[in-house]
Amino acid sequence: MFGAVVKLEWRNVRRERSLWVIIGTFAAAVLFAAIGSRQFVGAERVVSVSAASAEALRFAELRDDAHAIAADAQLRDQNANPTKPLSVGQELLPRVVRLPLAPLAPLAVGQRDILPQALTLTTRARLANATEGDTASPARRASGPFDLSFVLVFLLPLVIIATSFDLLSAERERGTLALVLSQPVSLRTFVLGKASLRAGLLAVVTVALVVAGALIAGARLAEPGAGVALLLAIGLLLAYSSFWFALSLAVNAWGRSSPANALALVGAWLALAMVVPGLASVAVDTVHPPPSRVELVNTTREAAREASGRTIAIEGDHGKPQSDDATARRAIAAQADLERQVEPVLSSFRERHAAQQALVDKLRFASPALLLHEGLSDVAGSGAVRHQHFLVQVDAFHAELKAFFHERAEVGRHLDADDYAAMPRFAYAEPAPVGVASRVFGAAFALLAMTAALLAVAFAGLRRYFSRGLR
Amino acid sequence: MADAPASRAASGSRGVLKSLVQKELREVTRDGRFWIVALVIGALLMVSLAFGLRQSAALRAEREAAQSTADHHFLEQDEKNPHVAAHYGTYVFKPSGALPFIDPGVDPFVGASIKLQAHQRNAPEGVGAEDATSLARVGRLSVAAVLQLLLPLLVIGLGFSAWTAERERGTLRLLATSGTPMTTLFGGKLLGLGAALALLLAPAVALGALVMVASGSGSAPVGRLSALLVSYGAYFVMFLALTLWVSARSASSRSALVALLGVWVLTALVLPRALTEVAAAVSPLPAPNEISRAIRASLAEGLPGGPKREERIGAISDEMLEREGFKGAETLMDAALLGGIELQAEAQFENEVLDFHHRQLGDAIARQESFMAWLSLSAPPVAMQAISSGLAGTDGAHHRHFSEAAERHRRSLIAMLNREFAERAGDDAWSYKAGRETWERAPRFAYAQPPLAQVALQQKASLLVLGGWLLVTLVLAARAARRVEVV
Repeated sequence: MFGAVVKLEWRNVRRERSLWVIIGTFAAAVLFAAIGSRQFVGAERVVSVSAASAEALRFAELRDDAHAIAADAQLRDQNANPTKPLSVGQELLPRVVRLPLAPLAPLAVGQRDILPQALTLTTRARLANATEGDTASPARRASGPFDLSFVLVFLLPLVIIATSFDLLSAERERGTLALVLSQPVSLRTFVLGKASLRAGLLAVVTVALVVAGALIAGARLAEPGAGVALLLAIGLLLAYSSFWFALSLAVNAWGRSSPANALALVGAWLALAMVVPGLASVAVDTVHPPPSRVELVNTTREAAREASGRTIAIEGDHGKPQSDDATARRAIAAQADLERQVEPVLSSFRERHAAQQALVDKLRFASPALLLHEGLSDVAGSGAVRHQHFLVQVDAFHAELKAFFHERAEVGRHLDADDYAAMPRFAYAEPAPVGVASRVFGAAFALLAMTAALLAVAFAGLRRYFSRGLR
Repeated sequence: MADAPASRAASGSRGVLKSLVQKELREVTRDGRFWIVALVIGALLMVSLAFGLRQSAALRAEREAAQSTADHHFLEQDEKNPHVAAHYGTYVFKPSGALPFIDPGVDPFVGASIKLQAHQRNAPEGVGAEDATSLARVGRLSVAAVLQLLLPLLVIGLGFSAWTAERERGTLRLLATSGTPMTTLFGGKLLGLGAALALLLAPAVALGALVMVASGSGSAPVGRLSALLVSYGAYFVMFLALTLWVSARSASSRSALVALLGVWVLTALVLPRALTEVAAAVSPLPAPNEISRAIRASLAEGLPGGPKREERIGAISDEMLEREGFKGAETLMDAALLGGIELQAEAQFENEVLDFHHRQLGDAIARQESFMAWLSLSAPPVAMQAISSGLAGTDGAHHRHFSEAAERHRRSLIAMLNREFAERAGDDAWSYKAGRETWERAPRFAYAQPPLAQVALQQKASLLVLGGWLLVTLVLAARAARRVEVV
């Protein structure tokens, strides 16, 4: 009988114009998001390539100059001596370290437009993240991007609601329910058959749209790990869809009118997609107030003031001769001193971030929308966890950089071509995919559990459907 | 005599209107669902109000403390050459206004402090959102978000069946036979539902006002607050009129609800994001590293198409020497005076370069914003967003106003320190050291938000859009009421 119901519903669905209008609108939204992402991700790629080539150019210039000096040539600029380790490390060769875009980056902007993706490093103390500034339109950051993740987290549930809110109530209101049930079919089979067809149809459409959208947006599916990531995203997405279908079934089984169903479902959507995340974010801010950058700036400046009267004094003296080895050693010692003093502040900063993130990981289970949003960000490599991983590597690289230049400065060595060849380079190492997978699996499992619970409620409601005098 | 019946009719219709308003109000307030929704929205408003107040109080305290620490650092710095002090520099922190608790706007997404130092214009740093969690992006709970997003939904819930339910129940026919003009009926519905809404909002407004008075922020910007109240009022009435229009034109409550929910999803959820993307794509901003590269290039070489760096600095310093009456006597001047003047000429050249590039960037941003304002013609929530953050002092324009003020301050500070060097160093030249007495004479940073009139001027497009929507929806709703199908 189930098969017959599905077939009947397919005939209905094919003629339901509004359903195809909704699916068409959804497809248009996916396309719009994909085109937008393509543009922005493309721009990000251009920036990263141009920054890398500018750095490479600068590097080659300095190396050649160092070589020329070794051959007793005239120095171009007396203040920019490319053989002096400390001036190269501190001034002449700032290194741009970048968190590369993950293959599925176009899927979700996540925290990528907020957290610095590229940092400028020198051998000086790394007190705050030195970025290139924030000209990226703050309005776009504030309103949030129109990416695939937005379409899937917010609009997909509305599509599901719009195509299923009157699944049963419309049959009753049109009087066709009594007609159908005069056939040898149970209410449960009938409802399940109808819902399965619609859910299946939407699942096929959604998966096709997401894959097409990701490709249009410039996802690089051939890169290692991309296939698995895409599968994870699709799995999570299907679990998310099933949650909203189950919710719609449960509301339909309640037996109210179609407008009442619509209001109840939109209300639930509003609560789960907007209000609960808002309250969760208030909760995180209240329990673990965000650490204050302003305070950090002042604390580090205070420490710097105490430790570095010596180093600062060197800075503004135009025309003074550059430091010799002794002053280099003094400057290195002063910096180490400063870093020691600031370390407690920085580490408490990191601890607060970790505590916040731990709470977010728990609170995301309060709303399916949060589960999907976080999951898609993780899969797209735009989440907070991957960024944290990046910062840890940046710290390690900074230490490596300092060690390289300071060692050479302390013994008064002049940099030559060999030193330039041996200079440390930054290469981001992706975290093991197990972390992302386990987070996504946790989310999908939770969504399926919620789905099961809602289906149980729905079946209970259906069992009592007629005892409430509904026909 | 002749106008007696007319005035009787008028007072009669006033009486009818009054009872119609009472009827609508009673109908709404008798509905248990109204109270549940009112309670939920009221609670959300209170939570976001309390949260916003706490946040902004913390922010204000933090920035005030930070500013005084920074001032202290500047005053307490060691004795050093004034130009070395210009390199040491200082920080200015954006004073938080009185109203961010209503609408945080772009504030969490822009830097709150700027390091001022010689030779460069630093970008604002310390972006709050960098330290917030990803949750804040999915659900930003603020008074403004509740008012802009949820209240329209409540309005829709209150009014979608205002006409259709009367028709479906058959009461519309009764009312029509009583000879009540449909426009009076419309007036009754508009005022009645409006009163219900006002009832719901009154506690939050009262509490907000109370807290503002109690917290003793004596400089409560009354003008900005009342402008906020009026514009939000217009926004709600606009949505109410829209709802009544759709209800009057719809065949059934169901179709009215579906249409209105569609409008809400489109204008409040989809378009704000979509239009920002369109504006960003149509009028793209240069990437930050491109700007800094262009500035570096111009600083090294001179402005594109202009004289070379050294030429230009030379010209400026000649000009300055001439103005001071030293022209031609350079060889007789002491080294420090000449050095100080040259330093200031260099600073002025740098300012020209910075002005050129920042003006280009500012123009691009302004183009994007005005484009966005006109796009908001398609979505009143976008216009409301702009007005609200503008009045709360948290929009992009206010941020730029602050950053310009900081830059002006930087220039006057650097000029003062260079002058100190020129006039006081004498034969000591670079080994001259100034002390606290000099630091104390340095100008202090005092920042005031732009006046209300300037905000209104900036937001004129958005205000026009909101006003236009209000007018059009009211006219449409009244006209549709006259033609509403009774059966």
